[in-house]
Amino acid sequence: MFSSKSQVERGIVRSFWDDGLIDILAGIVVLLIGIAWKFDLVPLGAVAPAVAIPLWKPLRAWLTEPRLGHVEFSDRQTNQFRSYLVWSFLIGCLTLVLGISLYFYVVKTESALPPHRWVAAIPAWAFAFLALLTSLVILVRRFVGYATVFLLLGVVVLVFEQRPELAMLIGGMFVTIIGVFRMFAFLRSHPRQPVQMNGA
Amino acid sequence: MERRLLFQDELLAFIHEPARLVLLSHLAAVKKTDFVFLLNSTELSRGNLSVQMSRLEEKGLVTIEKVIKNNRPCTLYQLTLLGKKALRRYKKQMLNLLQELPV
Repeated sequence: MFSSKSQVERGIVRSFWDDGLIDILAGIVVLLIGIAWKFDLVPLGAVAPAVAIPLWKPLRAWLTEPRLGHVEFSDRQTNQFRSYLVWSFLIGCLTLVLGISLYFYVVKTESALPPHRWVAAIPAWAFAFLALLTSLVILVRRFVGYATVFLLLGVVVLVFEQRPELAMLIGGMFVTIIGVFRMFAFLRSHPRQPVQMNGA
Repeated sequence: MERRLLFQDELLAFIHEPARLVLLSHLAAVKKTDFVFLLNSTELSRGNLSVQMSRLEEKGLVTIEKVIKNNRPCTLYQLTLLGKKALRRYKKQMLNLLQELPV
């Protein structure tokens, strides 16, 4: 999945993904999952990714492509991105199953937290792992920063015996805000290109 | 004249021009891309990019396809098999040349 790439290829992959859009969508998804958990609607958190993922392509076609241009990656590269999506889906499902289990445990036992408080940190650490995986695939270093933030938020949840959604609310907001700043920077530095005529 | 001394192959001498080499490198890294993406990636001027792509197409190294994407006309470029082979031969020849450098 992480085969070595030439410097040119790395630059192309990085510039393709570095418009801020994936940050904004990922941040909103995490934020919505956190909100769902906050109001004890944990299964509803699964709706957020299902809605956000299909939005990426039309938003990219509207915002990014008129400015950055269009690129089709090779079959090898496309398979790499697909593998990443599969792994993300699996990790997301595992986190959701954990969340639902936690939810039913809390409801059944009427306790604020599970017996082992580190369990509450798992969702944040799952997002940290996802962010790290993302950085390796799309080669945008900012996601290493996001991974660090979620890792630290998991520690905060653990140390201060907080509920899991705290990490998702703070982390989701952080990623969304950074994504918005990145998007603005991208739009400023990439003006909309005139309609192409004769390739010029 | 100097390029013919370096490259017996006229096609490799043609590839040796910096702008064309950058464009071919970018095209080798993807399946297809359009004019705007190459403009952003290579930072060549619009005029220079257009001229170089036309020359690359004339030599059979690149194909040009005009399509409509998201209701906008789009010019897509793809490296041909000849282009890939020429780039491989160029890379091999340059690596041999660099290894023989007396420094």
